[in-house]
Amino acid sequence: VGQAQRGVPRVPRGSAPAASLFSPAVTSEQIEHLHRRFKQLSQDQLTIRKENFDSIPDLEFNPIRGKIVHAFFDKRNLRQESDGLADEINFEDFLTIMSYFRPIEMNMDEEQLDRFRKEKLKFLFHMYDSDHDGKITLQEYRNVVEELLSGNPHLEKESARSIADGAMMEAASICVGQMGPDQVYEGITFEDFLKMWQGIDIETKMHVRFLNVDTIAHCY
Amino acid sequence: MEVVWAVGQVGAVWVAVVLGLIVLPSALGISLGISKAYMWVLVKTLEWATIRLQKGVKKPQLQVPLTPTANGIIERDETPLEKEIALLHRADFEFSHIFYFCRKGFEAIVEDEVTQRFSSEELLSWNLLTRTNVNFHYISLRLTVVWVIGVIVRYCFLLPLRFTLAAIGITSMIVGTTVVGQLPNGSVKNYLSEVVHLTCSRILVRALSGTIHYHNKENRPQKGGICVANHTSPIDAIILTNDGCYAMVGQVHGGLMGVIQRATVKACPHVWFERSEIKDRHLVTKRLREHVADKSKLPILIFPEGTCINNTSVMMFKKGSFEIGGTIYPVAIKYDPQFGDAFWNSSKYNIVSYLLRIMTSWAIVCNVWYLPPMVRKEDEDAVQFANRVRSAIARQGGLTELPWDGGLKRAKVKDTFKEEQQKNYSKMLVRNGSIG
Repeated sequence: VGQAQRGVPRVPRGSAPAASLFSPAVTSEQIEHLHRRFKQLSQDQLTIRKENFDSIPDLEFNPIRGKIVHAFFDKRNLRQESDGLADEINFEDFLTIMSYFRPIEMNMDEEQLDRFRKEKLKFLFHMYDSDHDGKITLQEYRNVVEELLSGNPHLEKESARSIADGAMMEAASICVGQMGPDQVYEGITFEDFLKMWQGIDIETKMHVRFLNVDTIAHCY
Repeated sequence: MEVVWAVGQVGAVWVAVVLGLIVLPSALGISLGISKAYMWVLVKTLEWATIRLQKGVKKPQLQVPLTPTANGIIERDETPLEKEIALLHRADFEFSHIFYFCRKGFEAIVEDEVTQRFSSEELLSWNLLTRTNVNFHYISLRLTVVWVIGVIVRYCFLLPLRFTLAAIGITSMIVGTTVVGQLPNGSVKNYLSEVVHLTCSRILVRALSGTIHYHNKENRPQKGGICVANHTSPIDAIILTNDGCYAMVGQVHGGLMGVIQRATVKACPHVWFERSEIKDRHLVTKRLREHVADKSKLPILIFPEGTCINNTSVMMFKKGSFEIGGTIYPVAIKYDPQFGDAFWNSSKYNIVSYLLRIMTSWAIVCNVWYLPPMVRKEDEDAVQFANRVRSAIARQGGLTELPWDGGLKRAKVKDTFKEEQQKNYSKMLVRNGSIG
């Protein structure tokens, strides 16, 4: 006749960032589910490495698979002070990354919504900005397009390039407006990025919502 | 001395009861109704337990929509790629495309459809077995007492009983088939071998407290046909032979299994392959074809998935079984997880601990549907035929169909699948005129 959940590590209350993310939205049931998933992925170890993501068949289909896995180990997403990539992440880090995909709740106020949105966009920004310099350059953008189109042998590199160039031009026109003939657009900064997404409702698109499994299932 | 004699007496009474109440009716094919009474008591108790749980829980329910499907824990947005990108406006290539794949990727990481099938189904209500519910909390004294009584009943009463029955069943199978095997070939031998096989199956089913409902018995597999079914556990074979005789197909094992195999093949023409022969697909197909061509031989029983799946879905059928020819008799088997989980997770449990779990569950309840026979059409190849049969089975059993290979339990996705998806995506981009 047990007491607390078996084997679930307590998310330490002391670590302020993680705790503040888990205001009412994520229930302990969901953390349980995620923990079980974590154990499955890590094969019962305490940390996950990049190789562990190879065992997910559904993920193989995804053209930006590399970037997604990368995002899990990106120290900027893990809210760590240093830069670069971590070698392995533990369950708390896993939850931190998952929290970027929380759905909106009914009771959020303006400020919370804004912060929410910024966080999701920041996550996306980090995905593009692979050299961590705070700007998305033309080359980085091209990389992303090429990855997305990587599976198709018929699409030449040239086409991928022109797509990327076209998109960057559009981005420039939104962010900087009319540019002079000798002005060079360095790259998309985070503020520009935010500007591009103004008015577009990404919060409802970028989340993973848990089904509310009836409380009957877990005898609390 | 006295103690030994007393124990001997008890033992004798025990065996007499078992023989009289269980073995004899199995041999004669009649039922004393004990199982029915047991199931009735069980159902009442579980209903009571569920109601107690409901009362004990007083949490405010969030206004989240949807009834949970038994198939997942996250709400999947099934909008296809094209629609999604159209919704995010701007047909040109945009950051928006990243969203779709990003979200899909995350969904896959939180829960993927395939790996899910290789672990046991989550139950929505509790059936007094802690193994089906990872977080077991204290609710009320009464519930705990019932649970403890349940444990005692299962381990101290049901387990020895079932073990005895299983032992009797296996021994009589070996002895019976060896005896019958000595007879000269003929209709008498066939008849007796059928009797022996049926009786032992029935004893073994009772050893698992199995309650099986057979539907559409008029479609039962005939001689010279091939019977295919979805695979959940090693006891699938016993479930099916409880109602008819089949020729098994499989690899020769060592140990107890090997002894059983050698004994039964004398009485009835089962098809056992040596390990080396299995690799040679032509040899296998040839032997099976010969068996099927002989109309006097019993129907073959094959499980085309190749591995145990957790009974919520049907995975890819291997086309080898469908190249043999002949009539295919599909059978759908669906277990009721309420009373005991029959799925064998071979990467987690070995066969002995699996059997132990089965024998300490409440019961194994399942439904077996016999589907009308199917034949391969002129313009179909083996793969299409296999998919057709699979759809029929999935539909009947209420299982979902997955195009994935059961071999993914242990191996990785083939590159050809990956390239398909990526080709689709880039085709769509090109069509939208985003180039130049």
